[in-house]
This record gives sequence, structure tokens and C-alpha cells, in this order.
Amino acid sequence: MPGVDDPISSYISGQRRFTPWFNNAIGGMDGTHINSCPSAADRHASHNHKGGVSQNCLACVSFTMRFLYFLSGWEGSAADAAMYTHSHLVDLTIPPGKFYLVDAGFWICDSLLVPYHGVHYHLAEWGHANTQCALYIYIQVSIFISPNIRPANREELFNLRHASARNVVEQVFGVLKKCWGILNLTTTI
Amino acid sequence: MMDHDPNDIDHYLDGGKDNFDPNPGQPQENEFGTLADGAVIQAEKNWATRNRDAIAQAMWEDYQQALQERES
Repeated sequence: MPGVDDPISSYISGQRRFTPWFNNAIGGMDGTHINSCPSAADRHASHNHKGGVSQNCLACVSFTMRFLYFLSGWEGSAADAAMYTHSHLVDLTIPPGKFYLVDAGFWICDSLLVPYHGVHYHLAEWGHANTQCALYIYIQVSIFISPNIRPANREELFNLRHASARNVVEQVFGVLKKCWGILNLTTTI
Repeated sequence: MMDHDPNDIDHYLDGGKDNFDPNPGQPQENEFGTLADGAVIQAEKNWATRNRDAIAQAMWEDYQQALQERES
């Protein structure tokens, strides 16, 4: 587990868009659904928000793509925030002054840095702009700094950089499920 | 282990020294931080929200400065 005196991750300190604001970030935290095969009696609680049957798992990942904590076996209907609350009461320690980057499914507190609610992630807006202006990108790569798609305020900028830094946890989930396809298999009974 | 060699477990208990809790009932602190002692209270949420605003504001001012440097 990360300690109080651990050095700042080079992933953070090496990028001006992240440092010094995320210097105390340990990594990213998120929940991920893994298919499961519960008993008939428990199956109703295992239905996730997409209608499938799964277990919800909570993972903490460092910026070097290493798992720091993993909680598995919760019903698919369990909220990420509920798993975090349980873990932080039982065995997930977080050094004072340190925090994890999390998505809007968690609530803000000393140990979790949450994006602004109701503020669009600019990454998505850029993706939309890129789809519409694919030809233009070939002509002018500087579209990424076009005034039309710059963050318009501090909240948008914060969410953009927050999502970018937190993306490591999504990458790890992607790698995990690509390596072990059984995690993605749909339950057949 | 307890069936075949009950004394063998002593090798793993470190002489029992780590079983002593100097502050029973109190949250234990170590280099890895502490566990939560309850639900997040409103004061903590308020502090964290102000902290996030401060980060966002500093980030925004630095961003504006970087834009000016790039355009000048």
C-alpha cells in the first residue's frame, strides 16, 4: 500500500498539466463489473444497471498501472461508493493528505478527488469535434488548440485533466479483461 | 498446523509482540494511513469542495498563462 512519504509519481510530476495539482494523488479508483454466476436466490441482487448479471469489483490502481487494492464479490447492483465506504472502514487505508482520482459515482471527501458534476468532460467533446472535422484535422493538427474547443472555464479544464489522469484505471481494466477473456464471458445456465 | 505441530505457529506470531494494542478502541495509525471511522461528515465534504475549487482555480490561471505564452 502507498505510504505517507512515497515520492510523487513520475507520471504526474513529468507533465505540466498534472503537476502540482495532482501531486498527492496515489492513483485512480473505480468499480468494474465482472460476470458472475450467482445462485437463483441471489441473482436479483446481481443485476447491474445494464441488465446483465455480474459482480461489482472495486480497484485502486497506481499511475504505474499496478493494482494497489482490489475488492471483489459484491453484487452487480452495488454502487461503487458503497464498496469504497465499506473498504475504507475495513481494510483500505489512505495516508493523510493523499487521495485517489475517482469518477462522479463517488462523493467528494478528503481521500477522493471527484470531478465537477454536470460539467461535460472535454475529452468527449473533442472526440465529437474530431468526428465531424476529421478532414480538417489532417489539414490543421492545431485543431486541438482551437478556441472553439478549448475548455471554457475552470470546471471544464479541471474535469478534462482529471479524466486524463484518472484514465489509467480504465486502461488497467481494459488490459485485465483483454488478457483474461473469461472475465467478459456471459453467464449461461 | 495446529493439529500436527501446535508450536509451529509461534514462528509466525513474532512472539506475540504484535498482538498488543496500545490504544484499544482508537483508530490505529501507520505509515499507510488510517481507516475511516464512520461516514463522511458535511464539514469534510465542504473542505474537500473548497480544496477542489482551489485546485481548479490555480489550474485555470496557469492554463491562461500558458496560452498567453504560446500566443505571444
